[in-house]
Amino acid sequence: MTRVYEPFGGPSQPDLRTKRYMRTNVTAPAEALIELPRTATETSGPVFGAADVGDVGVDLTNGNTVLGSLSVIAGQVLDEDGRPVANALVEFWQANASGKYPHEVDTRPAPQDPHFTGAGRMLTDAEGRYKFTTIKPGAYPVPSSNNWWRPPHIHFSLYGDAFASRLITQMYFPGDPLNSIDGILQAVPDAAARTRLIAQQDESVGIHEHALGYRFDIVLRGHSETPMVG
Amino acid sequence: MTRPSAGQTLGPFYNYALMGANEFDLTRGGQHGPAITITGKLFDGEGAARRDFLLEWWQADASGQYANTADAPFRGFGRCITKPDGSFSFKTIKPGAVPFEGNSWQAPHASLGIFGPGLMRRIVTRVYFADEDNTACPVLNLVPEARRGKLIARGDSAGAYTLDIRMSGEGETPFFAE
Ligand SMILES: [Fe+2]
Repeated sequence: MTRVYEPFGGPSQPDLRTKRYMRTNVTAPAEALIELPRTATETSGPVFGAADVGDVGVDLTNGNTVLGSLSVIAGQVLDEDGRPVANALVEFWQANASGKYPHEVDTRPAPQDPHFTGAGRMLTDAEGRYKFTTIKPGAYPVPSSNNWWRPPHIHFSLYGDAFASRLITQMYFPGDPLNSIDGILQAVPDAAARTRLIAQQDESVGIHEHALGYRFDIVLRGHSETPMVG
Repeated sequence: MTRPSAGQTLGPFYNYALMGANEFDLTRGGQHGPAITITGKLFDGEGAARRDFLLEWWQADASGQYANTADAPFRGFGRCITKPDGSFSFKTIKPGAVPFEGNSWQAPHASLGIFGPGLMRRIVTRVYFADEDNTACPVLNLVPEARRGKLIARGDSAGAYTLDIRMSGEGETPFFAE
């Protein structure tokens, strides 16, 4: 299917420079971005296969008993017309229940959980669906930030069917009081776009008396060449 | 129609999570042209070399075709995370010229997507090659002339090219709107 890619940005995307997150001032370009037509370079993109996914898997507990609220996260990857994006590469990573990442740069004195892998990946199926088992991550403080705590969140990396349909985002949990004061979530100006980054609790996704369920759908850039009527 | 989901920074704690986070060797599936390397460092707006920036490289094969299957001989995609000293490196082959509108062609180039801690969404640039004829590239010519050189990697006779990336401020790399 031929997809077209309209210019990106506007209030549904975060400001490149945000007040609460001062480091954006030295990483975001100061010059205006240069508009370019979408060429073969942008409308083509890497295609991933099972060998790329490897054996990392979709159970971040590896079947072990892990500290934290066992949770199943599931959703659909869609294009801007609501059509499923099949074979999208979905990668996800998160802190453990105490808000600690298995990364050398995370030097905060919080415990690692040796039974929790903290990362997984998969390709979406023909309906654009993905699903994985994890625990709800803990909040953690941003270093040198005057006591800014990140709300529990899961990082998501998605590659759709073109270089242009590439997204890295974060999923938040419903009802967390830290959501409304988080400098990264609140960097998205449009309230409806922020709400779409918050998963919905969904019993049909969870496992009865065993795991909580959350639904999180993601929209990637691109829609079909002929606009749908209505 | 629904607008795309909002991007969010990938944060500093991801390098254990991403597939092929060090698949900077695009020739790993086989040699389909003379090997070249592109190395450089990534700097922020204060001139500090920055670690843990994710670079994603996308290019055509030697004939200017983009791979469209997972088992293509040359897949054209690689990832590299900048090291503590800000350095990055890709090993690949020189791409061919890529069609543009009408009868015009884009000079051989790679697209580079950049994610980083403190970057709220992807920033995109391109890499061109100093030993190619870049004068008629319709995309490169969208960049103000005084800044074009910042997109052009310079190489030696052994195919070792260098190009630094400056995210912001003095000497800023030209970046393209998505
Ligand atoms: Fe995080």
